[in-house]
Amino acid sequence: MRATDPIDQRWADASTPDNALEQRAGSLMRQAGSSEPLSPEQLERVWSKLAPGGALPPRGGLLKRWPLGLALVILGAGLAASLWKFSGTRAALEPAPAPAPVALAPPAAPPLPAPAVAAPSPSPGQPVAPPIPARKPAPALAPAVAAAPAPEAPPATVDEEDRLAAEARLIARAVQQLRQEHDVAASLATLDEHARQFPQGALAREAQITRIEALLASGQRREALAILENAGLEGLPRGEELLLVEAELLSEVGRCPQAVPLFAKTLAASRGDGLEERALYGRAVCGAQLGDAHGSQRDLLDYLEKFPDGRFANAVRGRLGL
Amino acid sequence: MILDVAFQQEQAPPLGTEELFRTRGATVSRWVRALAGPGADVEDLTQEVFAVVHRKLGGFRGDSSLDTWLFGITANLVRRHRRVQLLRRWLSGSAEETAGHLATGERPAPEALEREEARRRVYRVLDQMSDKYRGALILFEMEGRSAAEIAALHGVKPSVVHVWLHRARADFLERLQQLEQGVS
Repeated sequence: MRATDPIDQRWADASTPDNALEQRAGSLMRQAGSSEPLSPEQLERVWSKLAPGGALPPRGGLLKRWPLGLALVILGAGLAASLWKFSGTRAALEPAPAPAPVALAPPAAPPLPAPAVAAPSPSPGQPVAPPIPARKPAPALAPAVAAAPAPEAPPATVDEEDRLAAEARLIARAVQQLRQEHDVAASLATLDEHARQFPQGALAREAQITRIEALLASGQRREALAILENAGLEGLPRGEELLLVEAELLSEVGRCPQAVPLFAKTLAASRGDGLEERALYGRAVCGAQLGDAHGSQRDLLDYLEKFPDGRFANAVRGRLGL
Repeated sequence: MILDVAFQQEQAPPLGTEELFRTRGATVSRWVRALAGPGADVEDLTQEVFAVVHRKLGGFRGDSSLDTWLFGITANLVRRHRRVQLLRRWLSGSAEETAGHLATGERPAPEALEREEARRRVYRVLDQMSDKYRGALILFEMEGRSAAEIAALHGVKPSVVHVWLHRARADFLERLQQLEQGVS
């Protein structure tokens, strides 16, 4: 068959496929089926978000949501390879055996309600990390949005498309500096540069997660906590673990009333993993501090039952007098 | 294959964003779901498409057909979305892993699970392909579009789409074989 011969039969419809592979492709395509449109109810919901109250603004006043990123395909392969090669994102956010300078690990010591944390305060000249922007809602056509003092977004241009690639390069560099070169200061400087260049960047949330990781790695736990407290963790990558880290940091600075609900949230979604282990112990310690002896003991016993050889097992036995 | 109403209609000048949404919203959402693949927030992306439509509608001069124009906006937005998602996975872990544990409400029926699994597998192959070939193959093999319809959506000649489809099919089969043999 010549390359320009019309194709008139789909794999899924072929009664006599040319070979087994085409047959397999046809089978998969048949199973996968075509895509369903949104239902009328779903479409109505979309419209109500686009034009709350039925109001549409004058055209041309909307904020553009994303910078474009055609260059990412080129950037992607090398970036992905380097990131996964030297660290692996999952490992970077999971509790790691100490010393783990780059992990969002739990405090090395049990999260006792210590009165103070020896974390350096930001120096006067130190750049202040912007808060993690909440997940951006899809744009509405509401007048309030249209009235935002933003210039009309220009048509997509190569320059604009390059912005996302530039953002990605900066964050990837920061990750590399943090995880591969173990240069926290350089990583933070790169993240500051990202925040300066792209204050509303599409990857601002990812930048802030990297910043939290860097701050924890450098012992700046109060600063990390400050960012976490201002962050909407819903929907963030590793949001559950970040929530637990926030709880542990709160516990560490003696703010158990704020920490306990966060531990509880983690436990509500528990799957018998390391997060549950940390959350159980953290809540038990906080419970004891808050005078909830019964609740604390229940958590400690629960811990021992589920994690008899866990990292806090000895401390738990000590607290239970076993 | 039943064509979308939008395809059967004469391309009339758009009256406004709301009219466009009412007449083309379902079609656009179907394009979004097909191009974005499993796991995409179709409502959110459809909303974004029409936000762009609203902003750009004044500049639409009818140089291309309305569906070509709408499809171009949809395809660009979905492409950008996919790249941002891809980048986020690299930087912060797999979105699938992150969201995989979330409660999904009722358990899907076995046939729905089978369909989802097939879709995931197909898109796993498709996502390794170039946007152009990926999109053409989705529209042809999965959405049942003819080469002429795909050409109309892209504003190119059908013969160009034939070439795309030939190459896309060969590419897909090669990657599928690698996947099935555990190479990829």
